[in-house]
Amino acid sequence: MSVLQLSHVTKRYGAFIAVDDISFSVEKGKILSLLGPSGCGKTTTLRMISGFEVANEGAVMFSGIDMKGRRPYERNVGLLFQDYALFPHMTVVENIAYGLKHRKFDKAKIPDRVAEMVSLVKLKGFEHRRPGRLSGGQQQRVALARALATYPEVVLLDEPLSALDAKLRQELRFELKEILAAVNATTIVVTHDQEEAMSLGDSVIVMSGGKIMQQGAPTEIYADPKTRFVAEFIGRSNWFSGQLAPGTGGLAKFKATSGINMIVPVSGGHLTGGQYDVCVRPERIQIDAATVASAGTPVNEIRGAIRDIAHLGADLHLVVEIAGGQLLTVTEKYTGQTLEQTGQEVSISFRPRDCIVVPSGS
Amino acid sequence: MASGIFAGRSKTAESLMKSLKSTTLLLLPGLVLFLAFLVLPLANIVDESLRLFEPGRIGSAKDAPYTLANYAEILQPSYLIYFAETFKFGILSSLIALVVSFPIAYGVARQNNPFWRKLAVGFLIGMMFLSTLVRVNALQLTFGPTGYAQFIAGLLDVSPSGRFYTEMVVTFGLLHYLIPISALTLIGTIQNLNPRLVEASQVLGASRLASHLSITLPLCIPGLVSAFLISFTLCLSAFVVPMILGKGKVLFVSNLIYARFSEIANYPSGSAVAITMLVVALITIYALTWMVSKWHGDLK
Repeated sequence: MSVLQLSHVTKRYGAFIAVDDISFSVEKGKILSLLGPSGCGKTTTLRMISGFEVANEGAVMFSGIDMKGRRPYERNVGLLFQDYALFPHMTVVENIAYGLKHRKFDKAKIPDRVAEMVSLVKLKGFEHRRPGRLSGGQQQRVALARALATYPEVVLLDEPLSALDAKLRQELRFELKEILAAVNATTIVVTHDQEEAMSLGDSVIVMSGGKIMQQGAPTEIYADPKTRFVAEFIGRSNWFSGQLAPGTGGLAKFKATSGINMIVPVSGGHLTGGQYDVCVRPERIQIDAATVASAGTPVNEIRGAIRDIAHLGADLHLVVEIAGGQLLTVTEKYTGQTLEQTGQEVSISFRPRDCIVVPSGS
Repeated sequence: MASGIFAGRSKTAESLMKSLKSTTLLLLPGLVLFLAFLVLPLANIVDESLRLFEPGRIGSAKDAPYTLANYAEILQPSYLIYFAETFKFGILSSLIALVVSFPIAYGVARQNNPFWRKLAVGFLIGMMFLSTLVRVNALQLTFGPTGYAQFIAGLLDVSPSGRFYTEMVVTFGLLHYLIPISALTLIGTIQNLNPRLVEASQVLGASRLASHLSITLPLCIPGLVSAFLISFTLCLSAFVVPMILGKGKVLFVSNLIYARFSEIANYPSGSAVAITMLVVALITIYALTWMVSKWHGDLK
């Protein structure tokens, strides 16, 4: 049975529909990411799970039990706030013990549980400091320990890494995953940051306008987006709009409005002819056709000129202008190769299977 | 390169000097006023309080000898009772004001509708513009023999001319301006409180009451103490309220000082009472502030 299940949940504020008939479930020990731009309804969803908001329709169920009418303190949820919301007048230990005290744990066992949490989040030696005297990363760990101490049924993380700087973020992401796995927590991560969502989540739900756009494993969401919104929201993308001809053998001809012809994949024949958008990820595009042509498969080849090269350390970001003045973004790994020059004429290429076809305007 | 850095540094030093100069210049008028009209008169009072008073005179003689008699006098029970009375009303009224104004402030601070919030704040500020004489006379009428509130005396089974009833009316008189001022002070404190903290405590299993007692109240202590101190200071200097509503039964130190100065022209005695009151009040305020800052100091 799912530990957490939402079925047909809708939340309205007056005429505004914040969350529109969403359903999903999470299995024990799994991490689900709710990803979307601000105002997509992900935070409202989180607040409905924790009990601060009440759904107008639908049900929020913990292990099959409807949470209707239960206040936040009558549910067993662990919530990690974006700004941590640590109690400034309490020490690390007092913060962690707070939930245990108020959830009426056996008083004699509280110190042991607190010590266990302190060592889980590696904060030994900081037990009697107040949050104001801890670094951002340490504060986050206290908040996590506090949220996990009461053995919550569901753990909710609100933008858990966004308040940290880039380097610390990477470090803590790994730690966070390890800690959540150690306690086998069933977790929901709410975020607008695709990196955070994809790196933490076993599966990802992309939301927009209160609706679920797509749900799947991170790789699936990235490689096989079903709509233009999802493809654009996750990762960088180059777009061609145009006409798709009915295809055979899994491949079809596509003629972009700019006049460029290419071959794209059509899976299962559900893509009939008509208006479609084609997306090509920047890292799938090769500059200099020779390397790809040798693979012996059909290749889409476009001529263009380099407009800009940005060297970002490990990566190179190139902007290539093609027919009709369209600009494509191309990324390459920098492995010491001789760099192309701005203004240089090049041939760019990508395989049909590097193309993602989605219905036009989706 | 090195000379560039050096030049830069000396430039900053120069501009620092300049800003220091202009700071002093800008402070000067204020300092002069402060010295001439606050410090010197106060020094004058201190001097006066140490002079020997001869009955029949107005104030002390120009060359009256120095003495501590005026201060020694204050230790007599007939004087101390004024201090006790003032502190009793000050502490009690300030505490009642806190209890009443905290929910008001909380309601206003957490009000989502800007219209109602502005209206409430405007009302509280408006209350403070009311002249003390107006509010005192309004209360006098309300609680007096013809006032509608006199039924309270019956309700409490006390005489409307008795001491308890008078003390109650004096307390109401003080509360009339203490409540708006405490509420306004507390609104800021509560607004600065991160609402996520209360949510965090509720998610951790604390009921609304438990969350209020363990999170909201402790974090509001500095604000509560400031509100208390402001109220308390206002009570200590209250003059019109005890004079009119107290009907001679309740008298504060201010009334004593007034009587010494204006009724019997014993300036040295009035001065000594005033200085004693100032010192006692300052000690109380500093002690309270020190205690709270010690407890609350390393939160931020």
